[in-house]
Amino acid sequence: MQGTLDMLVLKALTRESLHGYAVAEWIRATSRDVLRVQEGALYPALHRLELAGMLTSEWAVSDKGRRAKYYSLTAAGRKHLATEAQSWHQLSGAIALVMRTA
Amino acid sequence: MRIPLIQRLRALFRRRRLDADLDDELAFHLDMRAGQIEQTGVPHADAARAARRQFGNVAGIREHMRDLWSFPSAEALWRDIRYGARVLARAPTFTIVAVLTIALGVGANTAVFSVADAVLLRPLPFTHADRLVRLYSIVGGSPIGPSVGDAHDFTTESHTLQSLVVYDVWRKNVSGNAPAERPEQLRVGLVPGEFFTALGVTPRMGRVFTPEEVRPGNDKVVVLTERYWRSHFGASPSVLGQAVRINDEPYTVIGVMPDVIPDWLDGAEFGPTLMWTPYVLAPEDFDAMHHGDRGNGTIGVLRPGMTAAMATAEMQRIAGELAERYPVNRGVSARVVPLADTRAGSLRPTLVLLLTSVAMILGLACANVAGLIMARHTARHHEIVIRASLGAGRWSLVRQLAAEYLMLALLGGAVGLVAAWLGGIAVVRLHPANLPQLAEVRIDARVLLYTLALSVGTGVMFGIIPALPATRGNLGTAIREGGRSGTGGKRRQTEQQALVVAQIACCVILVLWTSLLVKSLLRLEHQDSGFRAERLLTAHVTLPPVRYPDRPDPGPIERFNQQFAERLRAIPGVRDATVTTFFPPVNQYSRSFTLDGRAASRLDDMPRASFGVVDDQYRTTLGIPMIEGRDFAGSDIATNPPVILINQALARKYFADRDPIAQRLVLRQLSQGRPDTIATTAAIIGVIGNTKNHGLAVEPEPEIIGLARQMPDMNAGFKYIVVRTTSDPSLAIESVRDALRSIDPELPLSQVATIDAVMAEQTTDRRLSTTLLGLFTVGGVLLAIIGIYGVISYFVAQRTKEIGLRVTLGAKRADILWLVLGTGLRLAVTGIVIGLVGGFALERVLSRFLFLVTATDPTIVIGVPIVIAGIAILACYLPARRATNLDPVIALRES
Repeated sequence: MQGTLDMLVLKALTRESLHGYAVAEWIRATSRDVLRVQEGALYPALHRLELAGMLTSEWAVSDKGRRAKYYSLTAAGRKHLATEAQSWHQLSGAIALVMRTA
Repeated sequence: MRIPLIQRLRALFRRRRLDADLDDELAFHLDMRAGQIEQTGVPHADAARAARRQFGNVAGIREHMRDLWSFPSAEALWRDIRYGARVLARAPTFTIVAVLTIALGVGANTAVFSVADAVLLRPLPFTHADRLVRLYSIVGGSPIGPSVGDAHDFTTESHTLQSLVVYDVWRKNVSGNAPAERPEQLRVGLVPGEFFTALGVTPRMGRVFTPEEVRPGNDKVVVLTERYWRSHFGASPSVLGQAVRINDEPYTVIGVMPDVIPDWLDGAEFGPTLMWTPYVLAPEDFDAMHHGDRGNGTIGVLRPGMTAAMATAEMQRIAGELAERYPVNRGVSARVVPLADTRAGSLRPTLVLLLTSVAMILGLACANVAGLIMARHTARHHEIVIRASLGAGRWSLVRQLAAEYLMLALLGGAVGLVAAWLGGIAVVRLHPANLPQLAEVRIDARVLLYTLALSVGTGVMFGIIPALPATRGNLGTAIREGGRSGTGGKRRQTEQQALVVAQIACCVILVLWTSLLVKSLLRLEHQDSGFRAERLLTAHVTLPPVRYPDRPDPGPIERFNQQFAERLRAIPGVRDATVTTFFPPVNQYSRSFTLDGRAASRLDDMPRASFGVVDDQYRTTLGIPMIEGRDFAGSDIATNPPVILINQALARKYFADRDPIAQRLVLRQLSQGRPDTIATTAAIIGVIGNTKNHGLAVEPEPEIIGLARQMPDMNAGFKYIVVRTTSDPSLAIESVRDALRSIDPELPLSQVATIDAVMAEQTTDRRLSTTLLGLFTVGGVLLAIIGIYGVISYFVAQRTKEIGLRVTLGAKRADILWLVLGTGLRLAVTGIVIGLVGGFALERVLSRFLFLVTATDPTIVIGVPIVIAGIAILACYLPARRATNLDPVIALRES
């Protein structure tokens, strides 16, 4: 689900700016290896979000001393994440409710 | 989530940066991943490969991301266009020939369309233009404007017409306000104020006529056209209240009308209408006798929702009632025609003919380009199949071919448009004064749109549809057909040959039509006119009724006639001169008559004949042969019983069984008062030869000629002069002017023309259409020659191997020549037969133009096929020569 990937990417960037590889790794680690982001889908998503004004990017030197493109959340991105998260909670809660009934 | 356009546009300009950034970003990711994999103990090279594998199709993703910040379809289109342009530029000969061919086809169509649009299609420049109509009375099958009385009755009884305005147009002598200005003869419209309201035009300044001004006594007011106001009053803002002299009476200017009322409205025989005065009607204009006084112009407005056909049905019913009520209306019907339909006039059949022929030219052009493309496709088939097998989608192949051919079509269309524009300028500049509709021809947005649509349509016709099968090919066939030995398939050859047959057929029709038109025109212009037309000068003089009353006694008019004729005859270099009401080939006056002793029981039983009053030098001046009896003489003085001449047509029709000389005719003036009071009994003294009296293309009708001095009630103030000079007639113009000035300095000499010019004007529209059709035909024949040449050349190229083989096996040059020429000739004969059949089937388009020539004219029906066959053989000859000169060794090696 494209919307879900976008939401995960935005979530990954709430605390700090990250480069694409770090975003993928953060999602993998935070989900305890359950969510493995398709790398081929990650970069298009990052670019799309950037073009849509949810993210900004800048080139910076990574901790390993290499030039990397760091993405960070914009105000619009934060707002978008909030609405997405809210509807996600509603949806997952609803699904859980349905599944819980015997 | 939509990506804003502004981002994409910004990306467009940072293209290179973004590309580099993307590469760096992905490379960074892959390196990081590879490093991570390497830490698990995998060798460096394998780790990099594994990272790549895990990532997926790097190139594909990069492509996808690039599309994100760009315009994928627009860029693909741009790519197709660039590719197409490269392909076209690589084959300049093909491109130039194709573009010129399309230009000819589209240009000819654009030119004719621009004329058709101006005179047939474009809406009239009036409010409610679609509701404006004209009403005609139908007398003896031909339309004529109704009488005032008829129009009044039609209007009051109609439920389909909201209003019907009756008006008239007269030639009058007009001088502007400048004191020294000499009068000139102009056309003055006589209209009610409703004339302008019906057309929905409002004055630029001032006002139009009030109902009071249309009554006798208050009518000396005038509305000027904007152009007269500009040319004679210097566009003065204080023109209102100033005076214009019309026929020696002062009229006060009350309004200036913008030049939106087109000249074609009232025909252009006597020039444009430049001003209007009130149409004053008296009670007697509506009486029973005056119902026969037809010939008025009309502007009708339909009620909303009504059509001209509904109005016609109603008017025919009312006409039936009027026929019961008034004797002069017996046998008279009515017709209502949309005003827009009257605009084309004599050009309508011309346009139908030209539209048909340019459609054929476009067909020829399409066939030619399609033929060129087919030949090229055989060469490109390989390329297309390989591109298809390398993964190009069918859609993208079609799109690319479409871009290429549409570009070709648009290029051709643009060149054609320029040619049509230049041609249009030429036509408008040449445009004859008697076809005022042509003044409105222009290249506007409508014409541009038409040209664009035509070009695109042409591109689809010649390029894309024939290209579709090629994209369906598969690698297998392409390889099997193998390189240059590919024959292009039998089907393709059949298609090409069908195209050539169609081209020849179109060509035959065009040449057939042109020949028939040229022959008609020659016959028309060189027919025996019945008089000697050399060195004749004609002119018109309008005698204003204030000083030259025609009632009760036209003494002043007759004195003018005699004085003017004498002065004309006294001019050195003038051999003969006559003052007359008409001269051939047109006599617009006619009169009812009865043969003495055979009095008609009813008015509508009386025959009508063309009629004119002249002086005693008419016949000798024009050189019309005397058939029988004697000519008018000086001894036929005014107080003698009237004598008349008749033409042969009248003698044959009414005196077939007896000698007409000394027979008496009773001439009746229907249009003024009662017939019995204006009847004139006159004795026939002679029969003269026929001269045309209804135009060059119509057989002369019976004609009666009287002496003006003996028929005072018919001696009106519109006089023509005809002068025969000993040298160039145009040299006598100034002397004629002087002669008129010496009698009355206030009278303008107008419509000055040699009789040659008058005759030439008669054939203007024919000459125009014949010239245009001739030009198109030349273009069409050229296209067909190129087409035949191309196909036969292709045929020879395809058969190189076969011909080489034949030569090796001992075929003679003649055999090879015959093989090629025979193929061409077979196609030509098929095309000619189809063309002849088509030409006869479409004869109706042409019939109106034929004069003393039938569509089955033997010299043309035999000559045209011979000429076309000759052209076809000529076009085949070069390729055939090439075939006979083939070196069999080289030919065979080629495979």
